[in-house]
Amino acid sequence: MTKPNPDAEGAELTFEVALTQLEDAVKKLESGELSLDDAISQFQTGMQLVRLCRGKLQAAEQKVELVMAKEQGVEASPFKLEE
Amino acid sequence: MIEPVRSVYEATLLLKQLVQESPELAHLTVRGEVSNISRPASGHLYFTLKDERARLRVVMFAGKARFLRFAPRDGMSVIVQGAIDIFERSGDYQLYADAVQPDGLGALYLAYEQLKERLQAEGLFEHGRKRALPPYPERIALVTSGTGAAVRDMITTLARRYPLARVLVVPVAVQGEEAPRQIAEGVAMVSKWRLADVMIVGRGGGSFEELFAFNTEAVARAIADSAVPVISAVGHETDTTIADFVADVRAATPTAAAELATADARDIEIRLANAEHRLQSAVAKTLSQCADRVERLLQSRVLADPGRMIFSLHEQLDALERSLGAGLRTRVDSRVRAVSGLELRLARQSPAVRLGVQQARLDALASRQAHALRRVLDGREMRLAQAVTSLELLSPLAVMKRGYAVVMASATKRAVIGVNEVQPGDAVHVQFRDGWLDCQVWGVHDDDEAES
Repeated sequence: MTKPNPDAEGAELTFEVALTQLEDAVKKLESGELSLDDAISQFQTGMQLVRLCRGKLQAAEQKVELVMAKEQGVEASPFKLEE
Repeated sequence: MIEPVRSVYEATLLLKQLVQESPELAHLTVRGEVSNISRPASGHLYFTLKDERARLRVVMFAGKARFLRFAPRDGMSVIVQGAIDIFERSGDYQLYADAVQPDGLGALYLAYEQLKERLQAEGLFEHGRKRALPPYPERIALVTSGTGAAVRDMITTLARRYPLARVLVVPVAVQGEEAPRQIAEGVAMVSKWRLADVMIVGRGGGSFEELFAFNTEAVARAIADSAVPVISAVGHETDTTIADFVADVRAATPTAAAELATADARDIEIRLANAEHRLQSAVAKTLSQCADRVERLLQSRVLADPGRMIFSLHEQLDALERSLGAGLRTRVDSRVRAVSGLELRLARQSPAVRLGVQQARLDALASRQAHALRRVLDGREMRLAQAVTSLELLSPLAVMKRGYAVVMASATKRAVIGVNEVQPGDAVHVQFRDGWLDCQVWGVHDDDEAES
């Protein structure tokens, strides 16, 4: 695998973006200016984001790779920590 | 001439004065090898500095010796800074030391200081250049030795705090000849291919020499030019390398760097719980507000008794009608009043009246005029009569009535008043009451003659 950017997992929401969207949802809801329908939809989006972030955190399992330079790009291979 | 003879002391004083006045000897930096070093209880430090051809006694008093950061030993090559002076009693000259540094180190220190100044002048250490670290990096690169405690500590710290982030180890030599080039290339590689959102460059503890790779220009420039923010983590808390000055963030140790690079999963969990709670309470509040509004609306009278609405509309209608009617009548009345007022004024202005008035004035004037005329005429008649009477009195005819006649010159028909107005022979016209005579003048006698 010699792709320079070893981890691009498609268009999935990054953790940071998810967190900022969550904060926006909370702010909008707390502003009190939303109609009933908007408030409910913001609430649902917010809760989905919470579940998403929490899921990412708990499921996360560290990946460590060794990265070496190659003529054209970079090569990544599993990195073994010698005990 | 007899040469002046001096005592030993005087001679030594002469030499001492000469030495003390020379500026070079007051601030001297000497390199050499340490030999027969001795450090008595007094804390003072004595040793001889030597090279192939000369030796020099060195003394460093306790007050200064206390600050030495290393223990000088025989055979060690050092650099000593101090001043030369004469010790009269022993007849020795000595170097009184202010500072002593290991020579090997000395060169490195010198290089370190010079590079630091140069890069500082270039502005590489400017606070403004420092970039903020990404709060939630997805990939973290570690440019450090692939083996050893440093990389292991970092990986385990990252696993505990933020397992989400993928860790990329870029193994490089961290000391020795190859280190500077490898470290610089490692940093450049991560930056060029944007392999990570943040990069930790560093190593575990070590001596000044062992850390020196991180004081080289190659590493400093690589870090400065990196497109990816860099956390430097070289050695222990007390060691500050040039890499630390250039990096975006300086961590005291590799483990500290791992903590600086990431948020702690436990903190994030707390933030998520907090967000969840605020979401729930906010939506609950909105729901209850809406419910209240609906409640209030239900109770309002209009919904309870729609008929009332229509009734009040009727009332409004009547009221409008009345005001409309009243409004109309008042407008008509005011019009009528206005018209009659105008009529009255018109009548007052009518010509008949004015004519009558003028007529009366005319009659008055006419009768006054008649009076005046009559008065004038009477006056005139009276005066006429007076004039006539006085005329008659004066009139020559009346005189003629009494037998007088008027003599006039025939030529001029003018009355002759004095005898001198005629000569004899003149024709005269004598006018009588009842006719005239044509006469000729025979003789002209004035009164004088008569008397004579």
